[in-house]
Amino acid sequence: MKLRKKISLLCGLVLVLVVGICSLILIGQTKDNLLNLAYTNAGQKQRSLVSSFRKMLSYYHEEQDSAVTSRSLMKYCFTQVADEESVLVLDGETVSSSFLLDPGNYLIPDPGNQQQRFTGMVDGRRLIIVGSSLRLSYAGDSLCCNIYVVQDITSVYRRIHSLAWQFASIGAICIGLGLLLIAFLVQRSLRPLQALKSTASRIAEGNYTERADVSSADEIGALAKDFNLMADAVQQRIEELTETAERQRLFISGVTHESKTPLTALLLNADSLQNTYLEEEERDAALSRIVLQCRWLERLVQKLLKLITLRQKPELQRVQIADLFSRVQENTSDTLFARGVILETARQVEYLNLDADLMQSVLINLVDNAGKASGSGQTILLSADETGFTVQDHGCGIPQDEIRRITDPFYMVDRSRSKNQGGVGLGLALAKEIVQAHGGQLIIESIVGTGTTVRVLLQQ
Amino acid sequence: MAANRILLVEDDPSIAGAVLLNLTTVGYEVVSFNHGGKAAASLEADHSFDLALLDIMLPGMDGFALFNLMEKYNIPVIYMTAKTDSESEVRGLREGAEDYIVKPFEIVTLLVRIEKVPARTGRLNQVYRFRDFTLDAQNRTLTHAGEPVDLPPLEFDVFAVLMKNKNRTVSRERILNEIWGEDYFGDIRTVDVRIANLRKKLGLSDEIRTVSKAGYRLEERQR
Repeated sequence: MKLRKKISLLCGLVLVLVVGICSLILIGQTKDNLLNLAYTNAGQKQRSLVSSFRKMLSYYHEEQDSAVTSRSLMKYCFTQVADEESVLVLDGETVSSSFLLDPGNYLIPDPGNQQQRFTGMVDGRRLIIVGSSLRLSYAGDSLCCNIYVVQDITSVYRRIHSLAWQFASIGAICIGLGLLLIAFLVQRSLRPLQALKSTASRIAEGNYTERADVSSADEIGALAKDFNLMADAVQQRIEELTETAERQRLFISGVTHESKTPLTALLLNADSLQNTYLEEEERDAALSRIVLQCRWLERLVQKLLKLITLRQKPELQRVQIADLFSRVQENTSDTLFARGVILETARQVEYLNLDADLMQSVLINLVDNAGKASGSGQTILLSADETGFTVQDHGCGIPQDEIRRITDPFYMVDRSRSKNQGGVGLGLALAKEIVQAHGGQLIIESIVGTGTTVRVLLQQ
Repeated sequence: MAANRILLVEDDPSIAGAVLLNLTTVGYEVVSFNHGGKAAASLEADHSFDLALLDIMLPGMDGFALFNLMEKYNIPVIYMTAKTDSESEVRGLREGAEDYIVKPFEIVTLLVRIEKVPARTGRLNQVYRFRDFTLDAQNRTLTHAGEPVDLPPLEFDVFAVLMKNKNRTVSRERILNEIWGEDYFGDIRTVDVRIANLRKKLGLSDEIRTVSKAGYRLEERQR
C-alpha cells in the first residue's frame, strides 16, 4: 500500500473514532439533561399540586365532617386544582383521570410525604408518573389518598432521537470532509517525496542530469538535498567514466589505425624478400624499408608506453631552469640547425618545482614542433617565469579549428608532412598529459601566418 | 600487345616501394606517385592506364577526389585503405570503386584482386609474357617464338598461374586452389607431376625453380 493511502487511512480511522466518541458522549449528556428536566418538572408539578390541594382542603374541610362529605369535598377540591395530567386515587379508587390509565397499576406510593417516580412504556407511549400518598383524618377515621401527575415524555425521546440523527449526519459530513482534507494535506505534504521518487527513477533510467526540485524545509527537503548531492557525485563519476572510456576508445582506434600503415609496409616488404626473386639492390631497398618501419613502430610503442605509465604523479623537485634549458638546447640543436632556425632562451626565475625529465621532454617536443613550423632564419623563444614556460615561434601557425584537436592522440595537422618528419602524432598529447600530471595546463594560442605561442602553466 | 599499365598513388614510401617492386616483377608497368595532386596533374598528359591503385588518405588530393578523375578517363580503381573503422566510407568505396583492399594486406591478395579486374571490366589484357613464350589466358593459347604450343588443359592452367606470378614463389596449395577452387582437396603431388611435364615439354627445367618448402617460381631474371 502506498504511504499516502496508509497515512490517510490511519488519520481517517482516528477521525472517525474521535467524532464517534464525542457524538456519543454529547448525545448521552443531552439525553440525561432532557430527562432530568422532565423529571424535575413532573416532580415540581406534583409537589405544587399536592400543596394546592392541601391548602384548598384545609380551607373547606372540618374535623367533624362525615366520610361521605369528606370524600366529595376532596373530589371537589382536587378538580379545582387539577389539570389533565393529574390523577387522584382515594383508597384504591381512581377519582379523576384524564389519561385512560390507572397509575395505581404502576406506582403505589408508600405512606408519608415521600414523592415516588415511575418511568416506562405504556401503550406505546413513554410515560413518567410521579406520585405521593397522604392520609386524611375525618370523624375519627382516616383516608389514604394518592395524588399522581402523569406526563407523556415520548416527545422528549423523539427529540433525543432526532438529535442523535442530527449528530450522526453532521458527524458523517465532518468525517467525510475531514477525510478529503486529510487526503489533500497528506498528498500535498508527500508531493516532494513523489517528486523525489520520479527523479530517482529518471536518474535510474540514465538521465544523470536530472535533479530533485524540492525546496521544503522538512526532512524530505533535507533528503532531497542529500539526494541531489549524491546525484551530482554520480553524474560527475559517470561523466568521468564515459570520458575516460571514450578517450580510451579513441586512443585504441588511433593505435590500431596508426599501426596499420607500418604493418602493411613490413608485411609487403618481408613478403617480397620471401617470395619475389629480387636483385641485390632491390633486396637492400626492401630491407631498409623494413628497418625504417620497425624504427617508427618502436617510437610509437615508446610514446604509448610513456603515455600509459604517466598515470602516476610525477616527482616534483626544485629544478634549476638554466640546466633544464641547456639540455633542451642540446637535444634540439641538430634539427633546428638543419632547418636554419634559432632558439633563444630567457628566464625570469632561477628555480621551479617540476619533474625535470618529464618537463624536458615536453619542452623538447614543443621546441621541435615550433622548429617544424618555422622557416629558415626565424627565431623561437623559450622563456620561463614563475607561472611556467612559454614557447613562441613566428612560423606558419595553426588554423583556429585545429587548435582544440591538436592535443588529441594521433592528430596531425598535415598528416603526410608530419609522417615524413617522423612524427607519430602523440607528441602534443603526451606533453598535455605530462603538464596535467603536474597539475598544470597547456595553452595553445596561434594565428595563421603570424606564429604560435604555447604556454605551460604550472601550479606552484 | 603492350604490358598492362597501373597507376599507383600511395604516400607511404615503404608501401609504395614494395607494391611497385612486386607489380613490376610480375610484368606490370607501374607509374607511382606519392602525392594526390601531382598524380591528378599528370593524368592530363598521360591517362592510358588500365587500372589505378589509390590510397585514401593522400596529401594534395584524397583518393575519393581522385576517383572522379579516374571515372572521367574510364580507369578502374582499387582502393588501398586503412579505413576499416568508418562504415559509411567503406560503403562509399563499394558504390564506385572496382574493389578495395584493407591494410594490412599481402601481395598475393593484391595480385589476385588485380587479376580479377579484367573479368569484370575487360580493361586489362590477359596476355602474359616470359622470354619467347606468350600466354593468352583469355583465349587459352600459348606460343613459343610465334609457334603455337599444345598443352593439356591442366598443364596449361598450372603454367598460367606461374606466368601470372612471374618471379614470385607460388605454393602448391595456391596452384591447386587457383585451378580447382578452394573446396578441392586434391593430392598436392599432382602439381609436382604437372610441373615435371612442363619443365620437360617447354625446356624450362632451370627457369621453373623449386623453392624448398615454399613452392615453385618461374624465374625470368637469371643470376
